[in-house]
Amino acid sequence: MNFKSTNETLLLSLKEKIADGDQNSFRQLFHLYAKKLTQFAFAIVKSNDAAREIVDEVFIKIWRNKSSITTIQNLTIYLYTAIKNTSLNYLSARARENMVESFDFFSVQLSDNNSPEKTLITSEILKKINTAIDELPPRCKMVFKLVREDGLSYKEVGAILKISPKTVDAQMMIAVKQISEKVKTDFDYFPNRSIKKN
Amino acid sequence: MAMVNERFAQLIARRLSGEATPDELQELECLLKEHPQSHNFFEIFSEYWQLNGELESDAIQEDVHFQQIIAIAEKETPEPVEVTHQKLSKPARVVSLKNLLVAAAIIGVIVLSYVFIPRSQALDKNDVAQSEILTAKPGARIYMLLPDGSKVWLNSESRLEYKKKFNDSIREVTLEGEGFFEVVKHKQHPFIVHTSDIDIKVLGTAFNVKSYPKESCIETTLLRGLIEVTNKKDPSSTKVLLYPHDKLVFNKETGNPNRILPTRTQNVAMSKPFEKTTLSKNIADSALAETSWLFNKLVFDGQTLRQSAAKLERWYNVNIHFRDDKVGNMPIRYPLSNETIEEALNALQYIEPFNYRINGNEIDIWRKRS
Repeated sequence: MNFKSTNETLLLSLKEKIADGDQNSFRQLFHLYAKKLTQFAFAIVKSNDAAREIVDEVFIKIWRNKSSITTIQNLTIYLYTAIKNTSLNYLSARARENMVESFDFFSVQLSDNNSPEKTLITSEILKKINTAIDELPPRCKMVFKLVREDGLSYKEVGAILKISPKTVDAQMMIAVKQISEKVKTDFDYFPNRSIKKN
Repeated sequence: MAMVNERFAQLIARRLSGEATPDELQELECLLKEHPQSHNFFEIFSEYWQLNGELESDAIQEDVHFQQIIAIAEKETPEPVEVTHQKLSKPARVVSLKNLLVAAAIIGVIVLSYVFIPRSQALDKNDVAQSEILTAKPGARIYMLLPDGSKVWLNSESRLEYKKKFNDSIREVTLEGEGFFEVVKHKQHPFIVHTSDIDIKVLGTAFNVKSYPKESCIETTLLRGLIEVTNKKDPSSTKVLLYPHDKLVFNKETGNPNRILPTRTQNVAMSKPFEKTTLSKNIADSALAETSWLFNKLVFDGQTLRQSAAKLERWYNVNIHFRDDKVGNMPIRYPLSNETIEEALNALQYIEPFNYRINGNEIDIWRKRS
């Protein structure tokens, strides 16, 4: 969550330094985003190698055009959009058919969560939550992934997926609601929780 | 009865994603108090939400990855350049498009019309087809876009000739001197570079050809793609295929198929006058001696001053005379970029002590007496 707040000021100074050709700042930017962007690309293309290549391509382009990086207003949106477009190009090149951007046709791959030790969540519940998320409509799942895993704001997700922030809000609501319904039965086995509450 | 109604779900999502306003946070607090069971869900779901905080990445591996990206990004690709006219003792400055932006486009037009003063002429009296000739004067280098979209860079004292009706389907050029080609792929219509002794058939690629009349060898260096080379004087001989970073040296004197040259790859054994070597793949294009001229660099890669004299002469538009046999025999590994001829000679004096005298375009070099 602090990802978001600390990020904006950090990104501003990074942009300036990268434009000046500072490799260390570029490295910092890479470390900030590489993992998330790779997962984002992977969620679309479903191939580790391709995802990595797509991330390479985007960062190579940025470094080659580093002097114009300051003209990018929101670097996060830019990076995700670039990854999205490159991934879609990759897919359409591979599939040789026109893909629609809405993510309606994709199965979205979420990253594996670490096994929950010392948490409230039993592996049983975790499995249920994950199944619930798996069963979300693809676009909903992508929205959920970007908001939760990548810490993006509704506005950013909207800009990246080309939907309105309101739609993002609605999709998030649907996601949470569906998850709560899928795991509902489990809560019935936790009477002590509601007792503890008093 | 649903555990979590829509408003509740919306508030939970907004709260966890940091989108909730203070009012909404309060509203959520109230709802949670009223619905203890939902509170359970909220606690568990919050914890689930945080699980991803440990998106840990392997810093070392990521750093290696980063280095690879930088390495690729910094591999310069030749930028379209424009002609500059050469004054004595300054290497031709090749101006990169990046710095010029709009100006380049305008200059480009002027330059093209300048270079292109249609020196078209009937090559052969029997041949009606007219030719365009592109010439890079001594000390100058030229960039040119061919009608099919392929790019050509010509090194100094080089000449490229092609038929006026050069188009997507007839793609043949004749090169004298040194040129770098970036050829647009066109399956049905190969791009052919003719030189005095060999023909190079291209299937969409980037490569360098050096074929100066005064030099005994023709060098072909492939950066990307695939090319096929044939010996003109012996068309039936085996064709040589080049793969990226292969360099083929054709010896014009031994270019006789009966002679066998020492070879390094098995391919060469079949193609006698040719010698094929593979260059290091990890070197940036600008650091390769073969293509360094594209980047306004003159790279000596172990040749002696004597062997490189022709290169220097073209580069600076001078004539070099070695006044005794004892000079110019030390191998040089040194890149030149923007030095004047004096600066270059001064630098080379550190490698091999010699005296020189510049008189107009003539340069005398002799051994330094110790």
